[in-house]
Formats: sequence, structure tokens, C-alpha cells
Amino acid sequence: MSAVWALAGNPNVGKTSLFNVLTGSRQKVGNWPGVTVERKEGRVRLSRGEAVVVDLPGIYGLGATSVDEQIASQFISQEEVKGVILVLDASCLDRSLYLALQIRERGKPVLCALNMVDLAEKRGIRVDLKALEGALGVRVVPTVARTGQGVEELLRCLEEESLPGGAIQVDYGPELSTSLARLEGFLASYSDKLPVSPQVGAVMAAEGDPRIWALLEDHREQLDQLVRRESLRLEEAMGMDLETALMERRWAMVSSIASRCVTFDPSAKASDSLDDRLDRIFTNRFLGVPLFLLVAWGMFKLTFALGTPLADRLDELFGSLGEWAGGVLQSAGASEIIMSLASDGIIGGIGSVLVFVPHIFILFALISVLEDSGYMARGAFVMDRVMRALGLHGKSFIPMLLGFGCSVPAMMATRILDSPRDRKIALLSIPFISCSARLPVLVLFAGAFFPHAAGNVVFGMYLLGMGVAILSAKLFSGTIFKGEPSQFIMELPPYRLPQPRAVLMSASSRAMAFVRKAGTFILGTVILIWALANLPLGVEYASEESLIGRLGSAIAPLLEPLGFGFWQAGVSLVFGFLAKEVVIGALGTVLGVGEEGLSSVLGGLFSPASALAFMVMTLLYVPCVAAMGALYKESGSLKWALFGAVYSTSVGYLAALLTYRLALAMGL
Amino acid sequence: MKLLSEVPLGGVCKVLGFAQSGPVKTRVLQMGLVPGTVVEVMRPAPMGDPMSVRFRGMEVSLRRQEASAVRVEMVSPCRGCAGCCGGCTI
Repeated sequence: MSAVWALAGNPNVGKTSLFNVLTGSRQKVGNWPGVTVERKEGRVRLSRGEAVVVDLPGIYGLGATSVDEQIASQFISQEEVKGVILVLDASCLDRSLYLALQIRERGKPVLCALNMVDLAEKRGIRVDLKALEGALGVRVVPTVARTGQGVEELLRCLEEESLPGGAIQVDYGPELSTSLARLEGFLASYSDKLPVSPQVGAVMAAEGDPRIWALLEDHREQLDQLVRRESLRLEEAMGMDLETALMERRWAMVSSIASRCVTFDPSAKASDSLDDRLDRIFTNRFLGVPLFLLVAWGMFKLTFALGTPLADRLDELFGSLGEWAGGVLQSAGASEIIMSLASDGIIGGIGSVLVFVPHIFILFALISVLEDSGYMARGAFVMDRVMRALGLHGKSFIPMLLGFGCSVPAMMATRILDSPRDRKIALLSIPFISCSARLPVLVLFAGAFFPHAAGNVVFGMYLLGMGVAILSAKLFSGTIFKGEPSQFIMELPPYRLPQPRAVLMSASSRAMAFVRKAGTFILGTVILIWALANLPLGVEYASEESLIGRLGSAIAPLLEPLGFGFWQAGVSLVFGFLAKEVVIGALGTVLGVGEEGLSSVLGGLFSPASALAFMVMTLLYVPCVAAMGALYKESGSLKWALFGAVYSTSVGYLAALLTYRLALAMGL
Repeated sequence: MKLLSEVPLGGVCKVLGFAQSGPVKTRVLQMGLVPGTVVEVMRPAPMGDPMSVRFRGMEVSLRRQEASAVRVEMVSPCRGCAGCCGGCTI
């Protein structure tokens, strides 16, 4: 088995660049089990064998106050993890040293990559490697991840069998040490329950790490009392509570290490002035918001302007591939049903997964440019006030906007949100925003029933979708996620030029991840719906006798109160699960007129009131299979995906019911 | 004594302690906003909230409500000296 290394570091220290250089294209993107946090893993070739490097989320400490920290803390303490590659920022060593101290306190072998030494040099900052190695008790390798400088040296160190190990001691001072000793004494009697030594456990308890409390089960009260008592004692003795005192001592040690290792050449004037000028433009009182809207709009336009022709081409390609396969099978003497399974079911299904790849690829290339340049943080900074009023984080604006194009890339874009809470709220709200696939359905019905007000009706539907999305976000943040606080404490990193290589890698690894994870789900559903429409054997495709027809008849009574209680409507809604625009094709098929003749026959089935209700239903009910696949993959759990499906269908049903009754009351 | 949220634009202050405990306090402590740290208030967002502050060589944004968890005292601004606020200049 290859050795496993954890790659840790603060946000914006070049951790991702280093990960890319180390692992090349041999990386896998997924989620940490059961949570909405991205996990990246890659293989590193060594001169003998290889090693696995797992990229941890960017963190400031191991205090377990956020999901990211919990993941990192737990992963590092796992036995099979051989050591930690810790990325430090040479241009501002202070901020990296806190995490370094905390990881060193845990006693895992650590290899430090002192990154961005080039930037540091430009700013006149010099780091004394020997002094730093001595202070932390680790190997330190200077690197420039963007150019790959120092990476070979880093790889050589990975192969060395014996890295300096053993924990280091932070000098907590007499008062705090007394408190820690008391905690250690208390925890020593439960050492069989602790995965760490009582000494490390005492520090974790002083930090308020919830895992220590969870492990103690029935003895939580006693620990609570002890921590409170010590906290009060310290407050009197030093004017700081336990947690503050602990962190203050660590930062004092950070400052002392930094002052010994870092020399500052005042003649090299910091290049901060350019950053400051850019910030004055991007966060300007009057320009900030319009500029952000322009960037977001440009991103939307580019994604769909570049992606849609490619997706259409792919769609055509798979169409002709299906026909060709059908032809081949026919000449080989295959039965009708096998031909149809191969061309419509399997090849069509693969096609409906791959058509999303161009959009996802382009979108993530653009997101990566925004994130790496440092602008994304400014955009969130500018928009946070508005988005917070809706119960959302400032960064949620971009995913919500993308929802107008397609829910799938929009849901994937929620990866820019750091907190699982904010991500889930956005994920559950996005499907209500009217995507481009819903437009043909809305246009057809609006044109057929409201020829003089079609534009207004379609626009009204868009507003309704937005309104429901916003109300849902507000509802979720005030109910399900009420206990989880939303924070906006984040670094505004220095502006940097994005690297093409990193941009392409980020885009391709995310597109791959979509195909792998959401793909099987989508393909499976396409084949299932194909089977429903073609079975039992011998029935006409999607006719009343087919399984899907029977399903349509079964749900028709449920649709009665909405004004469209006939099996054809039921069948087209079931088909709409494949993709919302399929509703039209399905109606054309079951009414026996094809898509072109639809508008003339719709009047026989729908009244203007029930047509409106049908539009509302199509707009809001269960997201299409691709969006469900994305929801499942991005939320990291089937539970949330099912909740999303049930919630949206209920909302759609109620809204359609309300629309129908209102429209009848208004005499439509 | 003031709260960090009340410090005027461009004002420089020193952290005294915290007005409330919780995740906000833990997060800013981790980022190095401990008692004694010198902080400069940089700029507000276009709608006045959130705001950005600078300490230990990095710029950090936080909402006003989050900033109100930090108790500070005003100090006279000192620019350009490397040692007074822990290595990185603010």
C-alpha cells in the first residue's frame, strides 16, 4: 500500500497549485463522506513506488469549529496517514505558523513547504530556513508552487523514511499550564475513551473542541464544570478566559518564532499599492455592485454562448450515433425493442450525461479564473448585504444567476461556498429558478393560450420561479439551518494572475467528477423511463397501455384539482423528469400530433386556467434527473436529494393548485 | 473602549478582548486576532456592511455584527515599523 500524506494549509497559500504540481493530472475530485465539502486526492510518483496525497480543505486551525476543520483534524489523526505536508506562506509567515504549531502539537510527522518565497523576496521578506526548522522541529523546503520550484526537493523528502517526529510543546505560561494540568488530570481517568493522549485532549478541551465532549458521554457535565471553573479563574488571574488565553499564548509563540526567523528589508517597498488601487475600484461605493453584476453577467453569457453550441453538437452526434447503432442492429437482425434500447435508452442516456460537460467545463474554468485572481472574494464582499437579506451568503449570487441557464452547472458552482450550510440552502433553492429547458414549455403554453400576453406570462413565470427560490432560501435559513450560523469572516487575498494550467485542471477534474458521479444516476433514470414507455412488450411507445401510460392514469386523479386530471398530462410530467423540455415532446407523442401540431390541439385538453397551472407545475415540480443527480452528488447524501424532490414537488403542486383556483376566480 | 464595528474608517485599534463567545470569537482568534493584536479598519462594502480590516499582514472581511464581538481600544496609528505588531506590518 502506498503511503498516505495529508496536504494542509491556510486558504490562499498556494496549496492547490502545489497539489497540482505534485500530482499532475492524476487526481480525483469528490466529496468527503456524507458532507457537502469537496475532497481531492492524487497520486505522486516517487523514485520507488508512489504516495497518495489528500488535499485537505484550507483551514486556519484544527479547532473543529467548522466542518472543514473537523475533517482535517480527524483525517490527520488517522493512523494510516503517514504525515502532513504543510504549506506555509513565506510572504506572511505569521498567519501560517498558527496552524503549524497546532499540527505539531498533535505529534504527526510534518514536512513544511515554505511557499511563495519569490513573492516574499519581492517584498523584502527573508525567512531563515535553519531557524524555522529548529523552531518547529521539522524539515522546511522553500517552494514556488506556481513554477514548480522546490518540488523535486519536496518529493525527495517524502521518500525519506525518518522524518523528525514527536510533538512540540507550546509555552503556555504558569497560570494556563496549571489549568491544562487539571484538565489533563481529569481526562487521564478516561484515557481509554480518548483517541489522543490526555495531554493533547486537555488542549483540545480548552479550545472547546466538541469531539472531546462527545467522547466523554456521561461525564460531560463534570468536564463542563471544570472548564468553566478554570475559565473563571484565568479571567481573574490574567483577564482572559481559557480559550482566549490558550490562543493568545500560541500566537505569542508564533510572533516569537516569526521574529527570530523573518527579517524584513524596509527598502523593498511592498507592492500592496496596486492591490489597494484595485480594491478601491472593485469595492467602490458606486462602481462595486455594477462591476460585479457585469462580471457575473459576462460569466453567464460566456458559459452559455460557448457551451450551448458545443452541447448541441454533442446532442446531434449522439442522435446520429443512436440511429447508426439502430441500423447496425437492424441489419444484424435484432428485434425492434433491442434496437430501441440501444439507441434511445443507452446511447441516448450517455448523450444526456455528456451534453452537460461543455457547460460545466467552461463554467469551472471561469470560476477558477475569478477565484484564483482574488476577485471572487471581492464579489462576495460587495454582494453580501443583499444576499444576506435573502438568507444567503454573498458568494451565492453566482450559482443563483447560473440557475437561469441550467440548474446542473449552477449546483456545481455552489462549490465556491465554503460552509455546508450555505451550500445546502443554495442547492435546494436553485432548481426553482427557471432554467433554459423550461422556456420552450412556457413559450408553447403561453403562446397557445395567451397569444396577446405571451411575453408577460413567460416573464411572470420567471418572476414566480425567482420568488419561490428566494422564499425557500429564507425559509431554510430560518428553520432547518437555524442552528448553524453563517459567517462572513474570510480573507480578501492579494490579487494574482490566474495560471492557465491550474484553470484547465480545475475545469477538467470537475467535469470528470460530474460524469462519474451524477452520470450513472442520470443514465440509470433514462433507461428506467425508456423501459416504462416500452413495456410491457408489444405496446405502442408511451401509449395508455404502457407502464408509463398506466402511471399517468394512476396520478391523473391527483392532478384533477389542478385542472389537468388526464393521463396525457401525467405521462408528460413523468417524462419531464428526464429534462423539462421533454414535456413538449411527450405531449406531442401521446396526443399523436408531434411537436408541431401541439398548439392547435392543446385547447381541447387545457383551459387557460389549467394551462397556467400546468406551466406553474412544470416550472416548480421535481428538478430534472440531471439536476437531481447534481443535487445528490453535491449535497453528498441521498437524504437531501430526496428531500429536495419531495419539497419541490409539494411546492409545485400547491402553487399550481393556487394558480388554478385564482385563475378560475378571475374568470379565465 | 469600543467595539471593532464602531471604529471609524482608517482607524487603528488594539484588541482588548471579546464581548461575546461563540464561533465568531473562535474563528478570529484562530486568524490571529488575539488580545494585543493591532488592527486597521480598511474599507466598508458598497452598502456599508460587511467591512474589511487588516491585521498580521492580511486583509479580512467580516460583517459588522461579527465585528461587534471584538472589544478594542484606539491606538495612534504607527505605520512602517516591522516589530510592533508581531512581525508582519499591518
